[in-house]
Amino acid sequence: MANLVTSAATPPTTPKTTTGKTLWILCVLLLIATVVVGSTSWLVFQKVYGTVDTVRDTTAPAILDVIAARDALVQADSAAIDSFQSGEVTLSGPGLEYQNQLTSASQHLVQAAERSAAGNSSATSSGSQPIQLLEALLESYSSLIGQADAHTGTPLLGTTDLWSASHLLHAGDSPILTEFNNLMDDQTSALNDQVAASSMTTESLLQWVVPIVLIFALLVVTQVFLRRRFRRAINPWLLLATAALIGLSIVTSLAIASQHQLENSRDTLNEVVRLSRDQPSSADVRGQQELGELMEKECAGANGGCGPTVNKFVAEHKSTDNTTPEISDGRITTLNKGFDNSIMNAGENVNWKYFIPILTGLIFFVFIPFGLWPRIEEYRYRPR
Amino acid sequence: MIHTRHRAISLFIVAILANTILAACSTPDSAGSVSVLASWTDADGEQQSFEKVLKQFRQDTGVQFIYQGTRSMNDDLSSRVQNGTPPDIAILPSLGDLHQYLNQNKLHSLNDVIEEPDRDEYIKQWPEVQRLGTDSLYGVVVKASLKSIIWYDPRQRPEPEVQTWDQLVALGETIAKTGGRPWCLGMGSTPVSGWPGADWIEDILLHQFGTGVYQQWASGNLPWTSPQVKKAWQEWGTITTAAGSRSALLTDWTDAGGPMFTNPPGCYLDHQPSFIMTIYRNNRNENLKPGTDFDFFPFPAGAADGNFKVSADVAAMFNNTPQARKLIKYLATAKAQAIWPHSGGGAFSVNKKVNQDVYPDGVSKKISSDLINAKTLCYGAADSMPPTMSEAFRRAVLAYLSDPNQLDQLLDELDTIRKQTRTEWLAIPCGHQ
Repeated sequence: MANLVTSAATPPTTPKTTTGKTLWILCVLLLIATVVVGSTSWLVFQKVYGTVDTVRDTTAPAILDVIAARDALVQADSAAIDSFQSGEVTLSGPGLEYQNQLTSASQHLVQAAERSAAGNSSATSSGSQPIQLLEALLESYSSLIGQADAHTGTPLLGTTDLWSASHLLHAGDSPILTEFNNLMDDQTSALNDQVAASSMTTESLLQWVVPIVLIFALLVVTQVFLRRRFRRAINPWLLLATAALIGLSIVTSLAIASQHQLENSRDTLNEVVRLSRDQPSSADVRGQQELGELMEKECAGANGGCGPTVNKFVAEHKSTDNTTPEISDGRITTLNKGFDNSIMNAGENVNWKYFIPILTGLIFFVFIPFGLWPRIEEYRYRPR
Repeated sequence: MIHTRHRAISLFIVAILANTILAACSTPDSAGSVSVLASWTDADGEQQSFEKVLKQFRQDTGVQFIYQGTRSMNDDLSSRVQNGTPPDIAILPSLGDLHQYLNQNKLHSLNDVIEEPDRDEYIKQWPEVQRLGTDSLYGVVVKASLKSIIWYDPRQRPEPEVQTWDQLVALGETIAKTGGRPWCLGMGSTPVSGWPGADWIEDILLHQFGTGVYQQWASGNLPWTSPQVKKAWQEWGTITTAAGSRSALLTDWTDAGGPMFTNPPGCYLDHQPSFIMTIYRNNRNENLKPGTDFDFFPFPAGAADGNFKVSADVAAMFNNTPQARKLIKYLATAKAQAIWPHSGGGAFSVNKKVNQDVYPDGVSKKISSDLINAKTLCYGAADSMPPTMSEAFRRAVLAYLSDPNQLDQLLDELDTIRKQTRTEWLAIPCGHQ
């Protein structure tokens, strides 16, 4: 065996017969095609699972952190408004729920920033500066809530501060939530680019399929040639090579299936971002309605009333049954679970990659040399 | 035959080379790019106007621009600076903020970028502003606003003849007697609510006690608890009582002047800087005509005849790149300064070389004339104070409106902050002709 392998790697003198030359050419072509198929299969596998790793470990968690931070901030705002509306603010300030949610928002942003610092992907590195901006805006927001809390003795001023804080979050020219949305848009755009880069285009599919078809054709041609020249029914080593090649194709197909799962994960994540961005949560709707009620009460007591901006807000957030928008909370939770499942599924076949070098090695070093070398040896010094 | 083939190949290579060189020369970003951060956004239409200036710059120099407008200017810029990725050029509406970056050594001097503005080109106030209280040049005024003015609707009443503060108060009382609300007032301006009230107090102090007292206070040398400052707050209290202080707290500054144009008017007089012209037309009716539908008269002179308060958006260089230097140089030219006023109004140049014909109406011409010919111009105190002081000032305005009886306590607290921030104050003296 060792002798055969060494011989295959360092060819002897050129065969002197046509059959010998043909056998030699078929052998070299089969070995070259094996290397090409093994390499392309490995590259396809690495590309897909490399992307799965990046998406699962860095890009998706960064997006989910930003979504969670946004959601926690909205919950914090709603909790603070609720505390003012119920009168609890005089004893407990904006409340424990506000503090918890604000802390949660802050922590999620820190985690997203850490992933940005650790990740090399464009999805995370592009998010670094906007995350820092959001952290600064979060400080401005909590400072306004702090002012509102400090002014609980003067309800008008407290309500005005609360309005300013919530306005900073929701409305105006550059509200905090819009900054969150912009960041999520950038992140999902980068995610889509990552997934698209590992997907099978017609070109990359051809690069993978053509060598496989060629090597199959070569194996068939070789079997036919050997049958005609040497009256052998079938060459068992080349048959094993064919079986190994089929195995190699199946293993590589797993990567294509994983790419499909990855694309499903991407679509689910895009949907989560879309819902988080476009659909108000139940906490948000409730909080804004309560703020509208607080503002309406203050406007009624003001000589000259409120300005059009406040009046419009109050009118838009009247709590009526038929104007309650679609609530996205449950849908987002379901989608999050769906994302977890599909990204897990996408990554579960990664260990099959070790079969690629094993099968390629078997074809290259064992099946083809064992299948052809004895015949080449026969014709080495003999004219046809 | 071979000779012909060689010639063809040579011609082909020459053509390829020529094409490459041509492409390289005509590539838009061959001259590089410059990033600019400012507070003008699409929402108020100002971004479009400023981008006209930048587009002309690109056309003239080949340098590309990357513009970002944000209303969260302070948060945005500070996070970029902390991150070590500031924009090449930032245009700030507050000298106090700019001064903070100067103290952190984040600004590049413009001494070797543009020449010191000569006296013929600017009234003395503007070089003072551009030097940020130092001997070096650090900023270029991109556009300025005239303060110390009061807007009214000429269709409702002719220009009031108001020479003194008492006459102004009396005018308000006359309007109130007829059942009208004299003053349009709104403090809401997240996250800097309260600045319209701060503008009022500055004007009262300047015009009742003169430039000496104003400069002392604006540079942190006059206590908030001084009789002059306290008097200014109290005088403003007479206005807010008539305007409805609760309502002022619950009204955005952009909404405040709107009722002036309803029938019957919801209010009659609006104390706002010159940039309110754009808001009137954007928020109310784009057909409102300066001079016909709205006009202004100066804040009653008192001890400071012919004095105006001003504010400015100042461009500063955070990255010393050739492209940034080119843009700074360009922004300082009369040609660049004429583009924005000419393209839609609402912006005013302080460069005397800008032809007055660029201003589209009589009111704008009048504002421009005051900006370059006024006897004295004083930079808005709140805009030049240290950021902590400025924020406390605005917050005190809101607190005072909610309960005027706590004035002494508020002034004590403000003075405590003044003492704590003593070293950070910027001294921009009023500039005289």
